[in-house]
Amino acid sequence: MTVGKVLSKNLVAFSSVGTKSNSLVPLLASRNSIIQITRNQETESQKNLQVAEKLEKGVKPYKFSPFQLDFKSNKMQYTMARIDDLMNFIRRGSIWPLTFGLACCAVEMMHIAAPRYDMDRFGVVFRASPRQADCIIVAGTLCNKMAPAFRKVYDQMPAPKWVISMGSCANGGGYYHYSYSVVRGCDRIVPVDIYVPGCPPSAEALMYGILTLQRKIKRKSTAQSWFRK
Amino acid sequence: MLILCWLLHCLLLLLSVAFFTLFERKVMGLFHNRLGPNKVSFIGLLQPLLDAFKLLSKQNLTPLRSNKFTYNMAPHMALILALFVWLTMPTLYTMLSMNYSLVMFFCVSSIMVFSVLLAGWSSNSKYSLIGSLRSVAQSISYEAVFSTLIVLVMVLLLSFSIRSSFSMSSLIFIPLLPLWIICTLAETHRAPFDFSESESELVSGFNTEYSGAYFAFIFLSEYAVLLYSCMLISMLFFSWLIPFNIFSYVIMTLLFSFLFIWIRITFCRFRYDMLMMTSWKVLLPLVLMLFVCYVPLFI
Amino acid sequence: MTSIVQNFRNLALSIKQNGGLYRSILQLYRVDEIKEGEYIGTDRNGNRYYQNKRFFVGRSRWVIYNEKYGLDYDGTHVDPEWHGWLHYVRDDPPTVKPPITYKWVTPNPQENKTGTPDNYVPYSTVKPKIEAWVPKSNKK
Repeated sequence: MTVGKVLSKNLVAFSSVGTKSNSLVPLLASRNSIIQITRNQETESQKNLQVAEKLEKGVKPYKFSPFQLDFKSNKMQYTMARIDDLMNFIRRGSIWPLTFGLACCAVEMMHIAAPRYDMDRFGVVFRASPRQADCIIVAGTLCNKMAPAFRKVYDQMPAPKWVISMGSCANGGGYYHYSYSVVRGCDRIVPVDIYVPGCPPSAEALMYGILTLQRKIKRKSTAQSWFRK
Repeated sequence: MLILCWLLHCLLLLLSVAFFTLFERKVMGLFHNRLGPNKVSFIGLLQPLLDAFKLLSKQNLTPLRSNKFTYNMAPHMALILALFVWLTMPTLYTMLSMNYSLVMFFCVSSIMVFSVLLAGWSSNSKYSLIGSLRSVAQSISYEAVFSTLIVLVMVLLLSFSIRSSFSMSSLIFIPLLPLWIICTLAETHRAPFDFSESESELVSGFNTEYSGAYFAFIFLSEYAVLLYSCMLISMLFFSWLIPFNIFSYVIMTLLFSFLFIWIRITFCRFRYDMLMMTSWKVLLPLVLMLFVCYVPLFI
Repeated sequence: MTSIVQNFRNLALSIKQNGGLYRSILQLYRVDEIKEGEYIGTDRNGNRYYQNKRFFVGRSRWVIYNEKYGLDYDGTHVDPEWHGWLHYVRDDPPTVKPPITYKWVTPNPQENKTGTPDNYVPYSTVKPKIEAWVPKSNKK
């Protein structure tokens, strides 16, 4: 746009000089019209970028890392923050869940592996063995009989590990809250990171739950805490 | 100097194996009408590196009552053997070009069966034990077929080395190709013969108890042997067709690895007794019959 | 299936709509997909909405989040008015057919604040069943 303005200014100067370059004036005029045409055909997205920029003036600019530190003041802490950023990026780029599909929520968990809400895009592959899994998705009603086995499986997972509680039965007993043989929420057995509500949560909701887990991992600060200790 | 050469080769091989896992995931995704790893960075190119680093940063667990020495040794053995078998490739080391490469390849792949056996047995878990025993029984059955096939190829090449395939390979080898592919699938524990993993039947087969770095080693060793087999097929069976430079062999290797991934996606797993029956009752007579058919041509 | 020539033409159109080759590569890094489509509108957060009927139903309407969110875009940044159109619940976008609003509808919908200091913490509004007693003090 600014190029167009400069050119048009020069064209005005040329036309004022005038009579010597008579033969050139039609050529320059046609160039002016070409510039006008290209400016009008500016793409919609660029126009709307400008609209979007005008909408927010007092908004903080986007920063990749949640740890914004100054390098000069404390060099060691800055390096720890960068190490944290790197490790969090690595860990959230490949979350490998263990399928703990107990009941009907397991079908919705299968849906996120299907082509529509493809979880392999995010680097998420289901692993069968707890030793190779990062995250455990508790999908379904946790009954009293299953509880010790569940705790054993959770203990077999290597650190760092996370738990996603899926569906209302795993969140807090759910539909079977008042039953005699149901654990009222899997957080009575394991510490839970993300709760996904729903009965069953739609596959999109579980996908959003996994993305929220990714955000939580992004905020984790192990190296900095180690250094501060 | 040679050691440095070999070390550099190992490093690049591990890198290529890592990206081969990405290739597999993307191809599987496209076959399933979805995309493979996409979101991680650019078009998913950093995904295998992230997987590898994540596995390295996990806590290293050793089961309580496992046999500690063999438990720690088996993944290292698998990885070292998988890298060792690449020494038999003729084009890579012009100074060291083996006279007995085919025999060496067969010996090393027989020892790799031991790594699976030890890994499963030393984990002290019934799933790993059953997984490893199944895969070992499958491996040694198909080794009977594979050994006969390799002897047949050695007779046709009139030498024990792969180097001679550059001059002796011809169109006549092609009927052996389907059988060689089936035997390779069985040896490298790929679907439809993947009883060592059999993800939906057993928990995870022989690598149930392996977490973190050891799992990465076992995983990488399987794919390294697979890439070697693809290269071997391209050298033995297609040397007469493609021009003699490294790029054509690499392209042929990639085509065959794509074929192996395609086979994994397409075919379902056999039942175990059907697998054994196929090996002893169908493939072994077939390869002996091929032996009888081919040898008179060359005598 | 579309022909090869048609595929190249679609690629060229997509690159052109996203503002050239360099911006397309940046878009590919951020959004993992470059598509071309008819621009429908912008919501109050600055996200842009597009549609292209050439793709099948799940992929024909999409949103490009505002650049202020960077790589941290989230599903809740989408306006509720546009949410119905984006998820194929409604046929017409809010520019064509504005949705009915009631006075109880919140005027500024917010994003998901889980994990931030502003998150929602549930609290009980019921009078507690057991109350601590106030000891009687003898004050004169």
